[in-house]
Amino acid sequence: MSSMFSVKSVVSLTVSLLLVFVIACGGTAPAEPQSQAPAAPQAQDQSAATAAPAAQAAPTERPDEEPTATPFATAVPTVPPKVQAETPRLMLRAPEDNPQRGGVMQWAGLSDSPHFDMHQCNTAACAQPQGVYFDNLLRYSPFDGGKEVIPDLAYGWEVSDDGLVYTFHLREGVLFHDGAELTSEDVKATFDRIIFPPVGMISPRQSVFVAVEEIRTVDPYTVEFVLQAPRGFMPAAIANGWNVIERKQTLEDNNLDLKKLKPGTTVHPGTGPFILEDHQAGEFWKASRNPNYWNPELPYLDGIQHSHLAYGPATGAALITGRVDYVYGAGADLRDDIRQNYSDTHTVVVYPIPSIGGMFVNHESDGLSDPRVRRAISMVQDRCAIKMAVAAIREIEVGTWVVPNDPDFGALYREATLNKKPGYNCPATGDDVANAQQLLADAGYPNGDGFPTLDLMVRDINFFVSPMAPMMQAFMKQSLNINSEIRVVHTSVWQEDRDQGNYDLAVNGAPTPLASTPAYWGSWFYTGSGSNWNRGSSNPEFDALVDELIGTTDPARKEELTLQGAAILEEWTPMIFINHFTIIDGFANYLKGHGRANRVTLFNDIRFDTIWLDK
Amino acid sequence: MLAKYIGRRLLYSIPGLIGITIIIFLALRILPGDPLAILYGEGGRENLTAADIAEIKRQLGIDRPLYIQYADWMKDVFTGKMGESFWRGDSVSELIIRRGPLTAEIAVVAVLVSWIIGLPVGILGAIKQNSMADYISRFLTIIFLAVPSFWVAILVVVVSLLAFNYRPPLGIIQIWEDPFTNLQIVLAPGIVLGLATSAYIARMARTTLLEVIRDDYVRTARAKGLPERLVVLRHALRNALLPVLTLSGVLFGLLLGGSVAVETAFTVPGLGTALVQAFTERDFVVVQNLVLLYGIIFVFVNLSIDLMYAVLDPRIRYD
Repeated sequence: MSSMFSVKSVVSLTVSLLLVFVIACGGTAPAEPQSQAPAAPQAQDQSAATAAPAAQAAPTERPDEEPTATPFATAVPTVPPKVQAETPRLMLRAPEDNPQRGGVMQWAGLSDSPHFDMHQCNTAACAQPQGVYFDNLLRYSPFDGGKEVIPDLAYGWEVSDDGLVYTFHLREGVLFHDGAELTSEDVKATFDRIIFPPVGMISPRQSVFVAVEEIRTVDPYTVEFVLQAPRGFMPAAIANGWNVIERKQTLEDNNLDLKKLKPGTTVHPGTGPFILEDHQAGEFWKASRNPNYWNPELPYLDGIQHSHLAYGPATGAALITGRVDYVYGAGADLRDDIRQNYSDTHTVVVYPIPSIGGMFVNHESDGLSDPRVRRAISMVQDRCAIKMAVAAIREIEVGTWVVPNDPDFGALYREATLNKKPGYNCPATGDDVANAQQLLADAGYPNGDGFPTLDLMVRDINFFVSPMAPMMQAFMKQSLNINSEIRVVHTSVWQEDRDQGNYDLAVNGAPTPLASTPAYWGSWFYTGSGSNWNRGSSNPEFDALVDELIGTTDPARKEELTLQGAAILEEWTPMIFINHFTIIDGFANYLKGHGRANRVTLFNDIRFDTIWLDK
Repeated sequence: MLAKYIGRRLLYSIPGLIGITIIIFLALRILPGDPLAILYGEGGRENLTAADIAEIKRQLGIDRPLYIQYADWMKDVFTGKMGESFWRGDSVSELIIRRGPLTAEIAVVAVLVSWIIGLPVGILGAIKQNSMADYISRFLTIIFLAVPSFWVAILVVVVSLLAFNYRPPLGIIQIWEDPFTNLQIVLAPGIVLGLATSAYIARMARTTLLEVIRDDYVRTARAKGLPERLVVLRHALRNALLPVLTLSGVLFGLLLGGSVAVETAFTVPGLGTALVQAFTERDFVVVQNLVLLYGIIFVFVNLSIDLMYAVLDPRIRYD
């Protein structure tokens, strides 16, 4: 109890209350530009439904109308005058009353990062182990499972009236692990690299920033993003876990190549809550608390040890036996066992990732260029049967054209689609099959006669997609008399053959950089997008719709466009979409200070800074 | 004379080792699939332009002619550096020093288990030929010959978890740091590997012993009135062991290969696990150095076994 009434807590609470009082009394609130006040992080036991509105989704709200102070937000007296009046600086702390300090959290899961350059990486195997050594400009809240965008190194931001200029105000006194202070130059260098990558560097998330024209520094603690067209999801894109802030000097010293520089060190410093102690490739990451972290409240842990364990039984076993406190990718095999036999000590969470799984289509292949054929193949896929067949290996959700964790329409669209539209019935109905056969006949292949045998290329990842391929093949043969030959290949071959068009149908899953329908459609189905794996696919009508949807902020218009887009996709069927993937996390119940029970996706809550051990 | 023999054998092994380096070097480069796809992950490589790919290959040094890449590797091997991981830049020699002891311990445990179990079972089968004990031992040896080690390994992992709520410690704990914890890591994989090889040892020991105990000198020993125990253990077994010893050398190669799967099943971070990971990542440098290391170990183990022949059979001389 004594920690509850420490001098620090009392001072923090007093300052917070004073600020609430000042703001409630009508503290100065400039009309222009509109300011994005940091929303309140939610306590772990509060449901997602009670979460405060996302900061980026409330452009019309004035700062003085926002709940600007909460038990978890603490003001720091060095705020520049303009912003100080608008918003106190959010300083996260655990939602519980008496978070305990100390201890080393053990967690397991994932293979090792292929390299140490987060900006060039597109796998959770980079974001999860390395996220603790960095901060972002903005971040997702760790208390609501990663739904809401909240301040991080920028303690506040503003959007111009026309939505074309985002101004971010940086915290002062933030130190990199090598002792250098963070300035706006570092933020500019970071996002210049992400948005305008030099030759020889890839930037997998560049596509969501195509509207950004320029990044400019206003002063050492202010940076502006200038856009060509409004993009409502900018804060969400910036907060993405991979977009960590690198030091400009580090980038320059290493010719922009950080792949072999271990993070959280003086040679590759971040500003994050942890410092790298040791890393052994494929074995473990060992981190210790950063004593100079800009948020003096965090982190609570003395350290983190992350062991690499293969997805599946090994991780679940490590959790059950107390070898680790948290696992990423527990494996479906132990999910039910943990729920049934260890529910008093452990929690298992199954959450969707913004991903698609199914057969990518080569539109240049014989037969597959006709949308009626693609739609016929899609309609005969019994998605529920596939889901049941792979349940012992991996939990998947029946796919729809709108990702389930889309914050606006995900749940709505699923409700309107599953068991209601052709191809989404569980089990598949005779009508679905008859309609599909008619489509195939209309395309000139009655009963599949004359249809070429398809090359069905399957990526060799057992826990991922390869078990689904024989079922997809069987449904094509059984209902449409379409023959195919499965070709299982290594990931590297899959990607090479896909790029060269050496496939008819290519089975795999694919993630998107944002849990946002326009970003997802823009990545996977937009003509010429680097991530559009459906070779030769193009639909100008759909492209125009995506262009408009990306720039739309009006909720009614967004919904209208989303439904129109889904209808186009349904008819056009650029790919044979089967499922969304899920991840199974498990953690010991003594792990506090997080909202992972409500986790919505994998890349937006990777810091572990607010976690503490209640044991 | 012995030194000359060893020198000659080592000399003979050089072409073999060079052959290994050439085969693995070429095999890794002939394999289909682009390593950059692994390096940049899902949704990464397709964003690279031709100029990007050329630049990255230049940075990685894989745009150079193969003979130059091979010469560089050999230079690294002879200077003891063994290169760095293609992706993360980790030193391969440090990886071997760190992980090698675990794999070596597993191999030693496996060899011990294979002899401790295989030899008595083989002897029992031979001296009690066609008895119930013989039938049972033959049945069990066939089972362990047929069942893959990694499957037994998974079974052991699952049973120990569900029945005893036990899982071995995570990570590497060296034997000189904490012997008890270290044993928890290496014992189970060693036993699983040893069970598979013990089946080979048992069958070979039974067969050779059955031949030897019918020889004249064994009959003579019995005629002299020696106890059966002495006849078998002192006279027959010693000669029967020579083929078993040879087989052990060959089986050591099996152990090295088997350790890859068994380490993965037990999630022991030994060299086998490192090899699997490196292969999955198409990390050429790590794979080719580990394969070369396995080749060198195999050569030395077989040389050691050849030298032991003289201990078992004084008639053998190394001229």
